[in-house]
Amino acid sequence: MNAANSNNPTPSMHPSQLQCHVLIVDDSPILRAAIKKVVKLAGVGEDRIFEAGNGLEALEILETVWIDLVLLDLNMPVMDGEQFATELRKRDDLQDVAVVVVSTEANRERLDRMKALGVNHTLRKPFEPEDLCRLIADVLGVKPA
Amino acid sequence: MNTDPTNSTRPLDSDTLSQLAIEALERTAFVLADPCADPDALPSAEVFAEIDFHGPEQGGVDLAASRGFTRNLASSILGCDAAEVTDAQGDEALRELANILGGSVIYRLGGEQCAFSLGLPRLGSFQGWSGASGHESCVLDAEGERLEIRCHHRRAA
Repeated sequence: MNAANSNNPTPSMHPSQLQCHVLIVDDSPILRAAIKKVVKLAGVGEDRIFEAGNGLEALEILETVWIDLVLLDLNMPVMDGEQFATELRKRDDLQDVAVVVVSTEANRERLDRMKALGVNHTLRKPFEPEDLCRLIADVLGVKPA
Repeated sequence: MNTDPTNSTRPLDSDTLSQLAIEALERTAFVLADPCADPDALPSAEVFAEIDFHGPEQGGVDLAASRGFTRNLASSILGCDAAEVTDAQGDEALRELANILGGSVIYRLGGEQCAFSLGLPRLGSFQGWSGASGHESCVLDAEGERLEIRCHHRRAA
């Protein structure tokens, strides 16, 4: 049982005030940096933003840190986003983790499979920073900063 | 609208490829670019990246860029001065641009019912670039730096 994710409150205010934790999963370090900037703009403190280069690294982080929202790329080496989401949904203690796909993926069947795995939203690259900012606020149930 | 997820593809021409790249640059990095009428006036390409796709058609998107372009792209994405950007970060920025542009191309080809899938983007080489035969191609002037794009694809067997 992952104690870190066993008691997830429902955010209703600014994310930084509620100490929301966001995990960015993307194999591109430069894209992680760009997404991290947007997450910070959305009001999440830098110390609450975590990064993983693939799905396996993301699962390891989820073992130790309470994560409210995963921003997930799909096409990654080692463990891709679909494999990660499949593993995530097998875990009772991680059912409340929100997942937003941020990817170049356009394949309809694969996106439908991600939806069936409980993915909350999909944001296709290239995206405007404001789009991601709004999506983060929407998924976390807060007003944009 | 394309409603057949297995066979239909929408047309792609060089102007559309150019517009997809311009949009990707603006949205991802706030880098402004325009189609270039005089490519010889731009710095030579030194960095190469490519990505494959498969589905109703199989093919790929290849990028060739001047070092100055990759440096500017990385600095815009990272929000730092271009002088602080390493060559490795520039390479990574172009690799990610190949990923994003590859996604835009397959979405253009496949539409909402897209049946295409992307491979992983990778850095390429001048040898690979010179041997590529592009169906569609364009050269962009991005603030005086070169970005050259080729897309090649053929109907899957």
